[in-house]
Amino acid sequence: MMPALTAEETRQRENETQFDGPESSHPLDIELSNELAREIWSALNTEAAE
Amino acid sequence: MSDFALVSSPEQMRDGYLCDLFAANGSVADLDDLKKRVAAFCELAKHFVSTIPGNRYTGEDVVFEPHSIRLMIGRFQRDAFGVQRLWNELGQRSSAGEQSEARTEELKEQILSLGIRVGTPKPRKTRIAAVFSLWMCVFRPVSLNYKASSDDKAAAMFSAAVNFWICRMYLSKFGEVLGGAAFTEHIKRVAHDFTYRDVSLSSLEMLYCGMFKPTPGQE
Repeated sequence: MMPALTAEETRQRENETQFDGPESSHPLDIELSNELAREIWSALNTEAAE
Repeated sequence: MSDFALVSSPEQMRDGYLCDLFAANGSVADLDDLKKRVAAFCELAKHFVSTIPGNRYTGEDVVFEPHSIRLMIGRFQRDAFGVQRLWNELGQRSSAGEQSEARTEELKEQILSLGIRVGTPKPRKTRIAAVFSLWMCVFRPVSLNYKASSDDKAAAMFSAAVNFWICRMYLSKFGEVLGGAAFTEHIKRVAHDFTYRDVSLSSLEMLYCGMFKPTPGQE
Protein backbone atom coordinates (compact mmCIF):
# COMPACT_ATOMS: atom_id res chain seq x y z
CA MET A 1 0.00 0.00 0.00
CA MET A 2 1.24 3.47 -0.85
CA PRO A 3 2.30 5.38 2.30
CA ALA A 4 0.42 8.56 3.12
CA LEU A 5 2.08 11.76 1.94
CA THR A 6 3.34 14.29 4.45
CA ALA A 7 2.15 17.88 4.15
CA GLU A 8 5.47 18.88 2.62
CA GLU A 9 5.37 16.01 0.14
CA THR A 10 1.83 16.97 -0.79
CA ARG A 11 2.84 20.60 -1.42
CA GLN A 12 5.78 19.41 -3.49
CA ARG A 13 3.55 17.06 -5.48
CA GLU A 14 1.07 19.86 -6.07
CA ASN A 15 3.82 22.12 -7.38
CA GLU A 16 5.06 19.36 -9.67
CA THR A 17 1.62 18.95 -11.21
CA GLN A 18 1.16 22.62 -12.06
CA PHE A 19 -0.68 23.17 -15.33
CA ASP A 20 1.58 23.85 -18.28
CA GLY A 21 -0.80 24.03 -21.22
CA PRO A 22 -2.44 21.34 -23.33
CA GLU A 23 0.44 21.30 -25.82
CA SER A 24 2.62 19.59 -23.23
CA SER A 25 0.62 16.37 -23.33
CA HIS A 26 1.84 13.22 -25.01
CA PRO A 27 -0.17 10.56 -26.86
CA LEU A 28 -2.21 8.06 -24.95
CA ASP A 29 -1.01 4.46 -25.10
CA ILE A 30 -4.11 2.71 -26.43
CA GLU A 31 -3.01 -0.78 -25.37
CA LEU A 32 -2.19 0.36 -21.87
CA SER A 33 -5.51 2.15 -21.60
CA ASN A 34 -7.36 -1.00 -22.70
CA GLU A 35 -5.41 -3.05 -20.17
CA LEU A 36 -6.16 -0.47 -17.50
CA ALA A 37 -9.90 -0.71 -18.24
CA ARG A 38 -9.76 -4.49 -17.86
CA GLU A 39 -7.78 -4.21 -14.61
CA ILE A 40 -10.22 -1.70 -13.14
CA TRP A 41 -13.25 -3.83 -14.00
CA SER A 42 -11.62 -7.02 -12.73
CA ALA A 43 -10.59 -5.36 -9.47
CA LEU A 44 -14.05 -3.90 -8.94
CA ASN A 45 -15.55 -7.36 -9.50
CA THR A 46 -13.24 -8.70 -6.82
CA GLU A 47 -14.19 -5.83 -4.53
CA ALA A 48 -17.90 -6.43 -5.15
CA ALA A 49 -17.54 -10.12 -4.35
CA GLU A 50 -15.96 -9.46 -0.94
CA MET B 1 -23.83 10.37 -30.76
CA SER B 2 -21.59 8.80 -33.35
CA ASP B 3 -21.59 5.15 -34.27
CA PHE B 4 -19.95 2.66 -31.93
CA ALA B 5 -17.67 1.46 -34.73
CA LEU B 6 -15.77 4.74 -34.49
CA VAL B 7 -13.93 3.48 -31.43
CA SER B 8 -12.05 1.03 -33.64
CA SER B 9 -9.71 3.86 -34.58
CA PRO B 10 -6.88 4.12 -32.03
CA GLU B 11 -6.02 7.60 -33.27
CA GLN B 12 -9.50 8.91 -32.49
CA MET B 13 -9.43 7.19 -29.15
CA ARG B 14 -5.94 8.47 -28.33
CA ASP B 15 -6.09 12.13 -29.14
CA GLY B 16 -9.68 12.72 -30.09
CA TYR B 17 -12.27 11.79 -27.52
CA LEU B 18 -10.13 12.39 -24.45
CA CYS B 19 -8.90 15.75 -25.75
CA ASP B 20 -12.43 16.80 -26.73
CA LEU B 21 -13.76 15.96 -23.30
CA PHE B 22 -11.03 17.84 -21.43
CA ALA B 23 -10.59 20.73 -23.87
CA ALA B 24 -10.11 24.04 -22.06
CA ASN B 25 -11.01 26.06 -25.14
CA GLY B 26 -14.56 26.43 -26.37
CA SER B 27 -17.79 26.72 -24.47
CA VAL B 28 -20.58 24.28 -23.70
CA ALA B 29 -22.96 27.18 -24.32
CA ASP B 30 -22.17 26.50 -28.00
CA LEU B 31 -24.37 23.55 -28.99
CA ASP B 32 -21.81 22.11 -31.42
CA ASP B 33 -19.12 22.28 -28.73
CA LEU B 34 -21.40 20.56 -26.24
CA LYS B 35 -22.33 17.85 -28.75
CA LYS B 36 -18.66 17.15 -29.40
CA ARG B 37 -17.95 16.73 -25.71
CA VAL B 38 -21.03 14.57 -25.14
CA ALA B 39 -20.10 12.35 -28.10
CA ALA B 40 -16.55 12.03 -26.77
CA PHE B 41 -17.79 10.98 -23.36
CA CYS B 42 -20.22 8.44 -24.82
CA GLU B 43 -17.56 6.90 -27.08
CA LEU B 44 -15.18 6.58 -24.15
CA ALA B 45 -17.84 4.84 -22.05
CA LYS B 46 -18.66 2.47 -24.90
CA HIS B 47 -14.99 1.79 -25.44
CA PHE B 48 -14.61 0.89 -21.77
CA VAL B 49 -17.41 -1.68 -21.98
CA SER B 50 -15.86 -3.19 -25.10
CA THR B 51 -12.73 -4.07 -23.10
CA ILE B 52 -14.62 -6.22 -20.58
CA PRO B 53 -13.47 -9.81 -21.22
CA GLY B 54 -15.69 -12.44 -22.78
CA ASN B 55 -17.73 -9.99 -24.84
CA ARG B 56 -19.98 -9.76 -21.83
CA TYR B 57 -21.40 -6.43 -22.93
CA THR B 58 -21.67 -4.36 -26.08
CA GLY B 59 -22.04 -0.64 -26.57
CA GLU B 60 -25.78 -1.22 -26.76
CA ASP B 61 -25.76 -2.28 -23.11
CA VAL B 62 -24.52 1.12 -21.95
CA VAL B 63 -27.39 3.30 -20.77
CA PHE B 64 -26.78 7.04 -21.06
CA GLU B 65 -28.67 9.72 -19.19
CA PRO B 66 -28.49 12.73 -21.55
CA HIS B 67 -29.49 15.37 -19.01
CA SER B 68 -26.95 14.11 -16.50
CA ILE B 69 -24.21 14.05 -19.13
CA ARG B 70 -24.99 17.62 -20.14
CA LEU B 71 -25.04 18.85 -16.55
CA MET B 72 -21.87 16.93 -15.65
CA ILE B 73 -19.92 18.33 -18.61
CA GLY B 74 -21.23 21.84 -18.03
CA ARG B 75 -20.27 21.94 -14.37
CA PHE B 76 -16.91 20.28 -15.02
CA GLN B 77 -16.05 22.85 -17.67
CA ARG B 78 -17.27 25.72 -15.50
CA ASP B 79 -15.24 24.65 -12.48
CA ALA B 80 -12.08 23.46 -14.21
CA PHE B 81 -11.70 26.15 -16.85
CA GLY B 82 -14.11 28.95 -15.94
CA VAL B 83 -11.52 31.18 -14.28
CA GLN B 84 -9.05 30.55 -17.11
CA ARG B 85 -11.64 31.71 -19.68
CA LEU B 86 -12.57 34.72 -17.60
CA TRP B 87 -8.90 35.69 -17.30
CA ASN B 88 -8.54 35.43 -21.07
CA GLU B 89 -11.61 37.63 -21.55
CA LEU B 90 -10.34 40.23 -19.08
CA GLY B 91 -6.92 40.17 -20.74
CA GLN B 92 -8.42 40.75 -24.16
CA ARG B 93 -10.49 43.68 -22.89
CA SER B 94 -7.45 45.17 -21.24
CA SER B 95 -5.36 44.76 -24.39
CA ALA B 96 -8.11 46.37 -26.46
CA GLY B 97 -8.06 49.38 -24.15
CA GLU B 98 -11.61 48.76 -22.91
CA GLN B 99 -10.44 48.81 -19.31
CA SER B 100 -7.23 49.65 -17.50
CA GLU B 101 -4.76 47.04 -16.30
CA ALA B 102 -5.31 48.25 -12.75
CA ARG B 103 -9.07 47.67 -13.08
CA THR B 104 -8.40 44.23 -14.59
CA GLU B 105 -6.23 43.23 -11.63
CA GLU B 106 -8.81 44.62 -9.23
CA LEU B 107 -11.52 42.51 -10.86
CA LYS B 108 -9.34 39.41 -10.69
CA GLU B 109 -8.77 39.93 -6.98
CA GLN B 110 -12.49 40.37 -6.41
CA ILE B 111 -13.30 37.24 -8.38
CA LEU B 112 -10.77 35.14 -6.47
CA SER B 113 -12.24 36.33 -3.18
CA LEU B 114 -15.60 34.78 -4.07
CA GLY B 115 -14.52 31.31 -2.96
CA ILE B 116 -14.81 29.71 -6.38
CA ARG B 117 -14.16 25.95 -6.31
CA VAL B 118 -11.12 26.16 -8.63
CA GLY B 119 -9.94 29.73 -8.19
CA THR B 120 -7.00 29.70 -10.56
CA PRO B 121 -6.49 30.25 -14.28
CA LYS B 122 -3.87 27.48 -14.21
CA PRO B 123 -5.40 24.47 -12.47
CA ARG B 124 -3.20 21.48 -11.79
CA LYS B 125 -3.86 18.36 -13.84
CA THR B 126 -4.79 16.49 -10.69
CA ARG B 127 -7.35 19.14 -9.81
CA ILE B 128 -8.85 19.02 -13.30
CA ALA B 129 -9.17 15.24 -12.95
CA ALA B 130 -10.67 15.66 -9.48
CA VAL B 131 -13.29 18.11 -10.73
CA PHE B 132 -14.26 15.71 -13.50
CA SER B 133 -14.57 12.85 -11.01
CA LEU B 134 -16.55 15.02 -8.59
CA TRP B 135 -19.28 15.83 -11.10
CA MET B 136 -19.35 12.34 -12.53
CA CYS B 137 -19.85 11.00 -9.00
CA VAL B 138 -22.71 13.45 -8.51
CA PHE B 139 -24.56 12.82 -11.76
CA ARG B 140 -23.60 9.17 -12.53
CA PRO B 141 -24.51 9.65 -16.18
CA VAL B 142 -23.93 6.07 -17.35
CA SER B 143 -25.04 2.64 -16.24
CA LEU B 144 -25.36 -0.86 -17.64
CA ASN B 145 -28.66 -2.18 -18.93
CA TYR B 146 -30.25 -3.91 -15.95
CA LYS B 147 -31.44 -6.95 -17.86
CA ALA B 148 -27.95 -7.57 -19.25
CA SER B 149 -26.18 -6.94 -15.96
CA SER B 150 -28.56 -8.10 -13.22
CA ASP B 151 -26.25 -10.98 -12.22
CA ASP B 152 -23.09 -8.83 -12.33
CA LYS B 153 -22.19 -7.59 -8.84
CA ALA B 154 -19.86 -4.93 -10.21
CA ALA B 155 -22.50 -3.45 -12.53
CA ALA B 156 -23.58 -0.94 -9.89
CA MET B 157 -20.04 0.47 -10.03
CA PHE B 158 -19.94 0.90 -13.81
CA SER B 159 -20.13 4.70 -13.70
CA ALA B 160 -17.42 4.76 -11.02
CA ALA B 161 -15.21 2.51 -13.15
CA VAL B 162 -15.57 4.66 -16.26
CA ASN B 163 -14.98 7.76 -14.15
CA PHE B 164 -11.70 6.46 -12.71
CA TRP B 165 -10.54 5.06 -16.05
CA ILE B 166 -11.10 8.35 -17.91
CA CYS B 167 -9.21 10.35 -15.27
CA ARG B 168 -6.28 7.95 -15.15
CA MET B 169 -6.04 8.11 -18.94
CA TYR B 170 -6.15 11.91 -18.82
CA LEU B 171 -3.35 12.06 -16.24
CA SER B 172 -1.29 9.51 -18.19
CA LYS B 173 -1.04 12.05 -21.02
CA PHE B 174 1.05 14.27 -18.74
CA GLY B 175 3.14 11.79 -16.81
CA GLU B 176 3.27 8.48 -15.02
CA VAL B 177 0.24 7.16 -13.17
CA LEU B 178 1.34 4.79 -10.46
CA GLY B 179 -0.16 1.34 -10.16
CA GLY B 180 1.31 -1.68 -8.43
CA ALA B 181 0.39 -2.29 -4.82
CA ALA B 182 -1.26 1.11 -4.56
CA PHE B 183 -3.75 0.14 -7.27
CA THR B 184 -5.66 -2.13 -4.89
CA GLU B 185 -6.04 0.72 -2.44
CA HIS B 186 -7.15 3.05 -5.23
CA ILE B 187 -9.81 0.54 -6.31
CA LYS B 188 -11.18 0.45 -2.76
CA ARG B 189 -11.50 4.23 -2.92
CA VAL B 190 -13.28 3.95 -6.27
CA ALA B 191 -15.66 1.28 -4.96
CA HIS B 192 -16.62 3.39 -1.97
CA ASP B 193 -15.98 7.08 -2.71
CA PHE B 194 -16.90 7.08 -6.40
CA THR B 195 -20.31 5.60 -5.67
CA TYR B 196 -21.01 8.34 -3.13
CA ARG B 197 -22.62 11.52 -4.45
CA ASP B 198 -21.34 13.75 -1.65
CA VAL B 199 -17.64 13.16 -2.29
CA SER B 200 -15.30 16.13 -1.74
CA LEU B 201 -13.02 17.76 -4.28
CA SER B 202 -10.05 17.83 -1.91
CA SER B 203 -10.21 14.09 -1.18
CA LEU B 204 -10.40 13.31 -4.89
CA GLU B 205 -7.48 15.61 -5.59
CA MET B 206 -5.41 13.93 -2.89
CA LEU B 207 -6.20 10.56 -4.47
CA TYR B 208 -4.90 11.74 -7.84
CA CYS B 209 -1.92 13.60 -6.33
CA GLY B 210 -0.91 10.36 -4.66
CA MET B 211 -0.76 8.39 -7.90
CA PHE B 212 0.48 10.95 -10.44
CA LYS B 213 4.09 11.73 -11.26
CA PRO B 214 4.41 14.26 -14.09
CA THR B 215 6.86 13.75 -16.91
CA PRO B 216 9.82 16.16 -16.38
CA GLY B 217 9.37 19.16 -18.61
CA GLN B 218 5.76 18.23 -19.36
CA GLU B 219 4.13 19.05 -16.06
